[in-house]
Amino acid sequence: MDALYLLIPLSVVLILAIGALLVWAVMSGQFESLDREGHRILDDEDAPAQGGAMPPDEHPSRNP
Amino acid sequence: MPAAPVIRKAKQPGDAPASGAMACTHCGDSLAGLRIVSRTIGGRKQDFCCLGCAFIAEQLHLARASDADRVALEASLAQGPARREVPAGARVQVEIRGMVCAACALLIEHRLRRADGVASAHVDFTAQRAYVGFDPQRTDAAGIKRAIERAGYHTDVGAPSEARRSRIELLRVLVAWLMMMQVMMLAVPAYVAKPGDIPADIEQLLRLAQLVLAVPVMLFAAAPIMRGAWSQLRAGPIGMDLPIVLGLTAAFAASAWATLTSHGAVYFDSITMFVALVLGVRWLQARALRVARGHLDDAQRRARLTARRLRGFPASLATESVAADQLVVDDHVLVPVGETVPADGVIVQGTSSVSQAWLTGEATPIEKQDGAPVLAGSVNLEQPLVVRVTRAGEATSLAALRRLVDDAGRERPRIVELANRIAVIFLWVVLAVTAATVVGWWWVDPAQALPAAVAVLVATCPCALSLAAPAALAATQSALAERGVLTARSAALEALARIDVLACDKTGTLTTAEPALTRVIPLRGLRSAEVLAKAAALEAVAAHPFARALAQAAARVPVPVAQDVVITPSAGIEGTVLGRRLRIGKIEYALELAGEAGQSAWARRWPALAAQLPRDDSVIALADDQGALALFAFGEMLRADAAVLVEAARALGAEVVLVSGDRAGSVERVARALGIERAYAQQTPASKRELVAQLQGTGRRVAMLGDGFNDAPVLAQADVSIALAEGAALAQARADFIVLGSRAGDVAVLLKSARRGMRIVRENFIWALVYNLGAIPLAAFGYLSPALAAVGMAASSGLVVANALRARK
Repeated sequence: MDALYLLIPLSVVLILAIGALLVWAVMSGQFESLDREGHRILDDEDAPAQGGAMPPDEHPSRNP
Repeated sequence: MPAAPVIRKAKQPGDAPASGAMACTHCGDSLAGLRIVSRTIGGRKQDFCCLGCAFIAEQLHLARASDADRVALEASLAQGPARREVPAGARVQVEIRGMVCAACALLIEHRLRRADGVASAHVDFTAQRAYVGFDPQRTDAAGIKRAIERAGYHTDVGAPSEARRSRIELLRVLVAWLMMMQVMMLAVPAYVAKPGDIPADIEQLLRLAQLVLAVPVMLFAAAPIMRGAWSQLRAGPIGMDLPIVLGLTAAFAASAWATLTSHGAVYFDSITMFVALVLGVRWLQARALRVARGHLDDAQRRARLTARRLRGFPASLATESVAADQLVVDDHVLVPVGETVPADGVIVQGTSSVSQAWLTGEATPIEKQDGAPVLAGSVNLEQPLVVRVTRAGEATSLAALRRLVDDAGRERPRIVELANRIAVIFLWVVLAVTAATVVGWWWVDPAQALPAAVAVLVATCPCALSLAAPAALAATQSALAERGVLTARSAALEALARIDVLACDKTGTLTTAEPALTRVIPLRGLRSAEVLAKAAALEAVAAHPFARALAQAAARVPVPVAQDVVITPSAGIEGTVLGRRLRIGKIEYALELAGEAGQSAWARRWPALAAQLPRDDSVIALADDQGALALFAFGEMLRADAAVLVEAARALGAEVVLVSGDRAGSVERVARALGIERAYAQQTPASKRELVAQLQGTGRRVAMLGDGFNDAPVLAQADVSIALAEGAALAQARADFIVLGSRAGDVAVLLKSARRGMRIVRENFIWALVYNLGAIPLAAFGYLSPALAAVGMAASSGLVVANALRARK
């Protein structure tokens, strides 16, 4: 039973860590436009010649 | 629910002005506190409450005036010195943040109306926006924003971006749910263990852990609820957040105290579960509204006016498509036949006739030549025109009228108003019951007082009540928008659900707007296909409705190419087809080719031919230098789904009445084909209006279905108006509903949806009231724990929203 004295606080710390992870995930836009990655396969990888290469922010990666 | 829907009629000219000298000449509204717009019309100076009224009055005068006056007035309208404008700031839209329920909208409205200088205020909860009319001499946009801020909400100046805001909202929901689950796990042992099973220090540790996890829920996740309550406390009319927060903080404080002193009960599980459920429901609801609004925006964008700008005029005729409001003065635009003039301007090339029916209700086209002024919203009927823009965007006459229409569309359904009023009264009852519960339990069992009070506060939250109507209406509107049926006035859904009579226009509504080829009579032994091909060849260059009908009919025969084509407006077309000079058009015009001999021969033959032609149809002739080659008759065709509409209306218990400006013969034919008993022919716009007023006089509620083109007066008179959209964009904007695809079948869907939507609203009301009233005694007498009350409250809101979503099917 003594293990509980360690495990309960540890679980709280773990949950707070998960909460922090959640904050990062949401604020960096991980939950936005969930369809985009699925649709990406349909994207035209070869950008039209006149426009040059696809602009780098076409698929923004907001991850730091 | 009172039986008669209160629908404010569009203002009618000629209505008696309000008592007192200072009233708008057109609408009769009091001018007190408004900046007066003055115009000299018909030699008399008149005062109006707004530019819109002044404009309409001018146009009505224009329609009645003689031709000479009309020309002068029109010129002054399109080119004259700039008119005195209502200052741009006299009406403002403000984005509002922090509204969580319909009651918030009520509060802001209440505050705004009392603010200095505010003439009118409407807050749309769904759009999270306030529409405010004000006196620019007494206040300004900043003042209005301050008034909103004082009420405890935020306006969208320097606010965090939409994306960031929605992320934080999502985060609140997720944090609440994560913590709720963990707190629940830590709370369960205390529920299942027998007394003494858990050592006191372990139990204390479990409670401490719950406290730590509940803190982010209280401070972060529940922040919107807390903020809502705070502003309600500070700024008057109490909303539903206040009792929620009262219960939450009471429960949290009691639990925290119990944890720290190791004495008493803890409710961390109830608190976190409640917050998680409330946030979850709100988030789902906000998402549903966002999706619904997205559809509406989409559809409205599709309906928006576009213009064809000539980039290099006069050097080149290349056009580009731009939104009408992007045009600037001195742009040149091409207006093809059948399209709407996108801005006020002057014709620089082309001769045509235009219809200003959207303004005057008069469908007779007006001839226009080089240098003549044209008004935005007129429809070009005969020849393509090049127009130089003299006034664009918000300065056009069209925009002035549209502002008028916009404001008229901002009415709230009675049923939503009712819900808001109930919610406010309800809250006071709840607070009183809570107080009584606390006092009562204090005498019986002080330990029960707090949980019972919390339960009462939570269980009776009128969330479901205030969600009942808006959610169902939003769902109905978004389902309709997906089908291309736009709701311009959501109050109209309620009225539409109770109509007794559906008055239909004929042309363009039950029949196709464009004539179809009904009969071909080849002469001189020719075959139908032959003459059809020749006629189609000549008409290939024209954009006349008959030309389109011919092209359609000739779709399956090879059409030769016509050369040296000459078009004579209002007469016909001449050209060389397969080596022969031919003419098609009005009979006299076509026969000119054959000279005197051909014409006298024709006079002998005509009576016999005329008998073969369908009555009431228009006839054109194809001729060469020997005389007529063929006759083509054009008439109207019944829309494929007209029968579906009549059937649906009848199934809903509404009588269908046909009201048309057309001749008795064709009206009767259509009425007979569709089984309509009452049909009125040869009606003018004014007599249509009288007819509808007469029906209304017998206590019937009338919906008017028209093409919105020359029906403006009658659409305004009817309790509900529906326009099929193929005419001028502005005439449509005057209707309560706009059916974009012009499919009569969609109107049937609209009728059914309105009934179902209102039925769902009623169901929601009943459920919400039954739940709330039933929960009070249970909670007050201690049979409902705070947790159960939380579940009940969240479930009732969820049920109401889920029920509303049925309307989308």
